[in-house]
Amino acid sequence: MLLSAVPARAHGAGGRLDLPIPAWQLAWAASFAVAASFAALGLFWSKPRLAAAAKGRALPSPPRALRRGLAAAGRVLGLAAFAATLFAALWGSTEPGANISSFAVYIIFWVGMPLATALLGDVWAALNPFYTLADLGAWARARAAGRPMSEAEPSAGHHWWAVAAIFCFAWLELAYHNSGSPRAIGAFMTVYAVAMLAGACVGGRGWVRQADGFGVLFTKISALAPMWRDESGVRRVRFPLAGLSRMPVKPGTVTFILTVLGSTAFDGFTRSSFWLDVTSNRGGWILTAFNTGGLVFVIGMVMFFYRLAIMAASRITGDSEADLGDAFGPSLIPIALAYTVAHYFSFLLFEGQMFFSLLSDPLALGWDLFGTASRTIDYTVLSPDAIAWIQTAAIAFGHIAGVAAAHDRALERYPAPLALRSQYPMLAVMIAYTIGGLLLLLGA
Amino acid sequence: MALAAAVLAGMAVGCGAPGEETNTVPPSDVTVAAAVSTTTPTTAAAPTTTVPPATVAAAAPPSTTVPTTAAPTTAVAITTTAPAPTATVPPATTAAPPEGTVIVLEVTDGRLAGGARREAARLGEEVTLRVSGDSADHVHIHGYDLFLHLTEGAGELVFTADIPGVFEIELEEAGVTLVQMEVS
Repeated sequence: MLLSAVPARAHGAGGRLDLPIPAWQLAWAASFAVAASFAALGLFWSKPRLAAAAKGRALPSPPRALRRGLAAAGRVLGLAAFAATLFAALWGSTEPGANISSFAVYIIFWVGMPLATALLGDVWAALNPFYTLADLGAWARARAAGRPMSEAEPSAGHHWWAVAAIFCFAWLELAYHNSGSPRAIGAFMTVYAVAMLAGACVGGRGWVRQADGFGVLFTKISALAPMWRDESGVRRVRFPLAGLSRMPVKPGTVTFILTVLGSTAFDGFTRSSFWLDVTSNRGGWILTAFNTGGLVFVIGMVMFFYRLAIMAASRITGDSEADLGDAFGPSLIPIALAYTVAHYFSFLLFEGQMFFSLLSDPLALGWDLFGTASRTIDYTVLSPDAIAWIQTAAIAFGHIAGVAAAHDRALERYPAPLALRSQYPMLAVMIAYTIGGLLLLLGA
Repeated sequence: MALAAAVLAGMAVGCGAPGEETNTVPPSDVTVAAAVSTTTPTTAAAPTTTVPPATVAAAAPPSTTVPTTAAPTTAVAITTTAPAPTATVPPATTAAPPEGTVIVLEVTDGRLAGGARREAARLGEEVTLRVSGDSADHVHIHGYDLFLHLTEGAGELVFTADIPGVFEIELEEAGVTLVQMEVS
């Protein structure tokens, strides 16, 4: 019998998962959410407020040269980061834990960016390499034809391509059995980039802004941020949730939000003992098939409950389902962000540390560029108790923010008594999402 | 000096001794164990010295299993000097530092007998992962990033569960999750 223990570096995605939150904490958070929902009807404001607060106050504008310099630096940084990550994914180590691409994509980008955009505004729009390339193409084309550049974000159009894009990424991360593989990440990035650029050639730069799933997602989340840039590029501060009231909703937008919500829920679901039993002794493509079925099912359930609520609201108000579905969709954004925080916050905190170690040796060639190459993950940064509280609080406050946004939207549309009644179904579905989200944290 | 050796030996022997199946212990440990037993009568009032020192030495030819009967003798040396034994354990077994969680997995043809399951371990305790079967694969403990390379389908790995959380133990090449280990 050979005894051997070879310590290696952290695995790509999914090294450490959170402990189940204690049941009493779940009960506490769930009752808090339910109580807050009903209190909202009576205690919240009785006239719509968010729309008035959505514009906010202008911040002093930095000199034009500085603004242009920062914008250019952002574009270059975005392109360089994308190219470097793609290079590492395709030609770096095949060991997920030794390749920076899995950390860059699944942690820094996929978890870090939603948090950054929720706090600081649409940071990703300033970095997005697909926007940059599409803009360059549009500029060259306009120059050749002697016309002004096409519109960056046309008001018409739809988000169905973005739904497909974000679903493909969720599938790669959560369903594909070899999701940590740098080569798989590299293949995804290549196909995604080709699709975006081909689309840009045909549909122009406006197409990319509607079809790039990541761009759309982060722009939606940035509606929660207390900072934003208006149409003329002026930076403004506003009340944190206010952006939801002026979010443009196109065909596919609400499906897009529900897909994101459902895929995060599926990630929680895969950690349950039920799913452990279902996928027991299954690996490879068989596992992928089961995961794909589960992913589609959970997204389907999330959509089903929303649809049910909208049908009920339609009966109460007499408005069409399509109209109501679009009207209340944006109020799900805080819940989607809450799910992200609850499920991935510790992932960013712990596994994210590996990104900084790997920055010193991104291609596993034995470099130590910044002197961080030998650093390992410090798991004492935050205690399991603190993590459980952050998770619970995220779900509870995300719920309250969602309810508040839906309340405001109802007041905007309906006179007071009807506005209250029209909210019951939305309240019910949000409570369902919240309790569902908490149960997933219980992991039982 | 003899006492220090006794403590070490007691730990080495005690690890798998009472109530467990006999453990293979490297030859060097066995000889020290014999030295322990010679000192015990002077250090403490031995309760039931079933095996006289000489017998232990004789009964321990190099590289054989240490008889479980040796445990009570060494136990005495430990209780006087060694780290505090837990109160809940009966006196005879206090010699052993807590054995910790043992996770026994039988992997045949890339599949875990009985299917994937959950195991719990207490933070800070020693965990023994024991795999038997026929898979020429390696077992990966995620998060801890320990790999157990299976030779002829079997292998054993001992580690300290010092990171709280839930960790997947995976049959790496097959891509099959064997255990979700919860450390809290």
